[in-house]
Amino acid sequence: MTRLLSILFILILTLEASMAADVCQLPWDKSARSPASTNPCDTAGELMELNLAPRQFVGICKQILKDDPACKKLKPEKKLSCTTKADNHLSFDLNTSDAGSRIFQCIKGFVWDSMVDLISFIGDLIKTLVGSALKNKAEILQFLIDPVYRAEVLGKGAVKGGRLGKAFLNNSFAYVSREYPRNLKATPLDPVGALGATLAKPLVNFITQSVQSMVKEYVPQYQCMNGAAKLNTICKIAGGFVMPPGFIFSFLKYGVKGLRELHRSRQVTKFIEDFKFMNEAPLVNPENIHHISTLPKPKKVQLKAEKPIQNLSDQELVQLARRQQQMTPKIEDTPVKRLASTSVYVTQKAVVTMAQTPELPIKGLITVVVPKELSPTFITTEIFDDLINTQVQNSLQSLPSSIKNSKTQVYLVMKPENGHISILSPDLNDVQLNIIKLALKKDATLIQLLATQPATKINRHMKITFGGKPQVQMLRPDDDIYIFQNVNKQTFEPIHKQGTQNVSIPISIIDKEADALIASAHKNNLIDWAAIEEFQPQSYRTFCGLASICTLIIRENANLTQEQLMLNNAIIKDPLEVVNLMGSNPGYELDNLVRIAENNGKIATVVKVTDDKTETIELLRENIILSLKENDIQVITNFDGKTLGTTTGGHYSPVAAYDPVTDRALILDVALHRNEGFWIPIKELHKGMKKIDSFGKPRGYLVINNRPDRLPKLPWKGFDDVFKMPTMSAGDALFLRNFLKSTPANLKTKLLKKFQTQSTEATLKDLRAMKDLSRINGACQ
Amino acid sequence: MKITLFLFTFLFISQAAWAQNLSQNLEKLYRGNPGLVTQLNPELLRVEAAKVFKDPATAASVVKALQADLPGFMAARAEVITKIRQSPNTLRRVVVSGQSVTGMVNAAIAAQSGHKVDVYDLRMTYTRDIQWSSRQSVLDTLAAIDPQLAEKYKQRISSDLKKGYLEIKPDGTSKHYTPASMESADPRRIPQTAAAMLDERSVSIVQTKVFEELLYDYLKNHPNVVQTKGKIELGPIDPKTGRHLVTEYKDVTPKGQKEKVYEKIRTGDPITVIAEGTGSSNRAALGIQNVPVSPSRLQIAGVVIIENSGEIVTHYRNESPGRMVTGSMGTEGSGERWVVADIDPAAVTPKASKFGTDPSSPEYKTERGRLIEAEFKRIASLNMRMPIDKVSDLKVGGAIEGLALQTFDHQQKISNKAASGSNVLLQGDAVGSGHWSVGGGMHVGAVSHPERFKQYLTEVDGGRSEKAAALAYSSGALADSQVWGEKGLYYFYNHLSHEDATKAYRESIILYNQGKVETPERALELMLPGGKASRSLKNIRLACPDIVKYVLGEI
Repeated sequence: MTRLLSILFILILTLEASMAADVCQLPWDKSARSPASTNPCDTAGELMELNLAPRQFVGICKQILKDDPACKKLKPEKKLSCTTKADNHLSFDLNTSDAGSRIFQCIKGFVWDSMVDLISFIGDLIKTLVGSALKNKAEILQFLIDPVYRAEVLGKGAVKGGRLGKAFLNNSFAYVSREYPRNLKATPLDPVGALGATLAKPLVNFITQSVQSMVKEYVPQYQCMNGAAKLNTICKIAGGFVMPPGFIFSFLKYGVKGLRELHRSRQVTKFIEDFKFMNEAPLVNPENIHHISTLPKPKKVQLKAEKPIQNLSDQELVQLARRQQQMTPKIEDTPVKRLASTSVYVTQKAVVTMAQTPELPIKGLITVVVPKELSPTFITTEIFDDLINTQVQNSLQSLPSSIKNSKTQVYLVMKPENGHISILSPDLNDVQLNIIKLALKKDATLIQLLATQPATKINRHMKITFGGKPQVQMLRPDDDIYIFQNVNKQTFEPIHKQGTQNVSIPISIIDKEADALIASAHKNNLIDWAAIEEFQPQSYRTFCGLASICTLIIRENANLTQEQLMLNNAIIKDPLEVVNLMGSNPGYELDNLVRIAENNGKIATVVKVTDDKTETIELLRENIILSLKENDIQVITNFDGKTLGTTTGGHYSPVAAYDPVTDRALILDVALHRNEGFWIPIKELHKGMKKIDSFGKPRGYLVINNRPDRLPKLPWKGFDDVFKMPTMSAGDALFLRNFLKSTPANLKTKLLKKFQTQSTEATLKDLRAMKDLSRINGACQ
Repeated sequence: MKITLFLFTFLFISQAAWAQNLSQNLEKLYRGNPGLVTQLNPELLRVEAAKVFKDPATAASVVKALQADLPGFMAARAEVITKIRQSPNTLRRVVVSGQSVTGMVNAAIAAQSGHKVDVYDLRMTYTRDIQWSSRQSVLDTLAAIDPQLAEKYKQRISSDLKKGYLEIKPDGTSKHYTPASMESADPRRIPQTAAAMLDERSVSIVQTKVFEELLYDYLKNHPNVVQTKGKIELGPIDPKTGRHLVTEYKDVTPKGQKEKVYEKIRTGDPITVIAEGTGSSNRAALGIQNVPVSPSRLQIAGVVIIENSGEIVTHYRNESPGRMVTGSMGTEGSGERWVVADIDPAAVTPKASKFGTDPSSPEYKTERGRLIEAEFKRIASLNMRMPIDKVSDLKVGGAIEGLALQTFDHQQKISNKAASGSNVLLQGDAVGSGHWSVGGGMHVGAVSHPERFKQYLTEVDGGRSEKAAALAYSSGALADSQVWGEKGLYYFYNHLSHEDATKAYRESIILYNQGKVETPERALELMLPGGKASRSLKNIRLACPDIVKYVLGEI
């Protein structure tokens, strides 16, 4: 495994190196940049690349804002949108036949070098596993392609290596035994060439998909990252293909020991079981079929807009729907045009239906048998399409003619879970019939809105057209389809025509309104340019907290990455926690984040939000203003994104500006892949913080700073306020008063700080411990 | 020649006379103190016999006979037991509530001592699918009751630990202990305390229901025992005698009727053994507290239908909530492998988004059942080192025959006393419970507490103070259960050492007994504030400012 990982890392590093080479001319690569471009105003990207000290950079930004109205559109926060420019070299269409050759050109040196490594590695691996049973290349070859011989050899020698290694080998064997004869058939006179072709395919697939995935998913973020973050992104993408990212990080931190620990863990067991699951192809769960009848009905949902709805364009409406209903389509021109062309209004109902579609119970019902020899490692989108096409076609043959002849279209989603194809069943007909029956009964076409899914997950969509011989068409992930259930103009009034009240919603920093807000904040000197400059998008799903505190910590340690922050922080004692923090775990608790900030030499104070009193809202406002006035103080908000109208759930993000006129704060959303930064009214922000988090604790905000003299204001001013806690009984209060009489002043202050910065429940728990300990140790009062 | 013949005759006669002597001595001994019938510990017997014979030399000769020739001694004892049974004068009444292993072993001890025993239980059939590892002392205890019973146990009930004991550690390494087989029964060496008993190694595996059936049949055929489907109720202590009044009831519920109907049999003040398990209702009626001495952990127990016997496997798993343990074993010929394990509640909780949060809804129940089975199979497959796909195909069953798998919350408990008045004695889990992984549960109830009961009977039958005997019993039985709990506490914490666990247990009991904490569990919370994740024991005997430091996490 060590060897495998080392090679993986070499692959990754080489990949990074080749990505940065001239061939690809990535926009962030300085050597590829046009030397003629000296004006920092050429593009936002150019501006971001200038190698300047933060102070100089901020100076230029201020200058731009102040002096050059023509450059206003290039103000630094534009960086946050990170939209891929049309002339970006990476925007070529990877789905055309040209794509493969272009990528190949880009990385060919790397491929050939790695091929040699890979082949010798596989040889070594087999030798290690079967000991001295294999003496020469011919035997290795036979071992690879002949299952009988393999079983014999394995039966003889002691097989070393862990289960994961074996799983890897088994899958490799399965793949080679299937592909090698096929390749040999094509070039019967060149068996070695055939083996080379067999081995090259997965490697090329792997690299192609890595690059595809990176380009599609991460380029927008990638442009905003520093070198280490880029490397980690690639590492993450590669990890997604080969093994859970937790492996890689645990390996980084603990070496082989970390891997061994992980190997025993439940996550890994599950991972290995997924491999097995692939081969077992269990029957579809009959309960799922039942769930179809509970297809959620579209419900009416009011969209909120700040200006009269009549003045909103279609695009703006889609934007609103997207923010408020957690929809996931891209806001591009295309879907709007399509909407117009199909004469379907963006209606309340329609929008909601679109938003809910990914949650429809049809998810997971399409079942495909994956041949036993096919491992998930080697399933590409092509193989996946092939499998589905064949099997669905076959199942359609057996449909009753009434269904076959009905003029209906059915859209189906195949959404593998956990990054593997895990929705498998040999019995497709029943399930499919149910979907079709339902579709016909409802006189409707199932709706699927294609979300932007990571390419690492094979997520394919299929259209079946009935009427005569059913036609199956695989849809590309990029296809946008808007077909609405029971939609007609009479029942679904366009939202334009309905009056709506003016309510506060987040204003995206790329919206026009944001210009005025930033100007106002700038005028009042309530904008933290350093925070904007040091902004880091989260580099992993659970890393919003780490990315947020990075905005301050990174100022002293420019090379610090979120991954390092995670690996170095003291709360991780067990390699397994790495996996938890990378994956299933909901992220960092506010209290843990405090510890990480403190471990990095910061003073961290938590203010929990448990009520919506005017004083506490005022306190939040005061603390935000304080943080913006002082360079070394940063407010990190912990809120429920849905309450704020963004697409995240529980989330952390730093605050970078405040506009006193509209009472809005600028939240730099670290989940850049979902939201841009946005301006939100303090009241709304406070509401979002009041939601209980997934650990059952109240949210709030974290103030981290370097300035002991400028501590944030806290909800409790002294012990007197502690006694007024609504949950504290008179007995508790009396006990505390008496107890504190005999407590030295320094300890008393520390205790006060603890009480102030933790939740009420934790304080009551502490009180109970104090009481019990007093009783155990005799009277202390 | 003559001399030789003479010598030979002399030897023969003296041998016969010696045997005659032993019988007479034993009859005298057992009539003097019937409680000594099942007492075969040479040292204890020597002291007690001296009191009966009022002559240390005779006592020494009896003990010598016991030490020199066990079969001969047991044969002589069997003869005397039959004689004593025929003489009604020595009969004392003993009532046992609860007809599980613990209850029945105690009933057999009392019955063999010549007492009239009534056993009550609301069930007369055995359906618990539990299996457990047996130590040598179980066989020896049975031999003290009746060598034939022990022989049946060895031949029919206990199955050899052919493959031995395997401990799989969280890091995946494993340690194998060589199999030890059961030796022949020797009642002279029964350990007198649970601490000594728990130091013994497991030597065989036993299926509870088969063992229970053996004991049930033994009592059924014992002339001194009456088994009744029914219950007992404890009344107040009679101030004159210091004994509780006990009312015995027979279950006369007509067939098919749900509501129970009882018929009163009698009220009296017999010696009463409460072997009703952890949830003992009579203990509650006595007002005896039974308090938690550990955090609670969700566990699962059941059987995998597979003939996979002859080994005990303890598998430590490092999973998301921390270190957890699975134990499994299979008795030869049972066709079942018993598996019991800690589980992560999240693993058996249906997704709220799909199945809601109402545990009574049918969808939720079905899904939970499915999850429980899947988790059980996963754990079992890891423990048995079998591929999950193989285990998935196997049938599984719950801890009760015919019922589905269920989870349960496991928590160690301890009572504040094990006897009430001078005639009511608590036994087994009614006194306290520990962790199954120690392997002590069945043994505390079937070996250690019965030993304390023998001592109680010896005291009482020897005409000494019942009250003092009951107090001695109480402290002894509690000490036995506590040792089990001390060893078991380790399994409730992920990182704690055995030493710290023992210390924490003792300290928590002391604080509880001093009335400084509501329950020992609370003391544990204070000593181990990180809960399951606690790594070291914190001193909670603190000076006043230290209490603040403790709360601040500085201590």
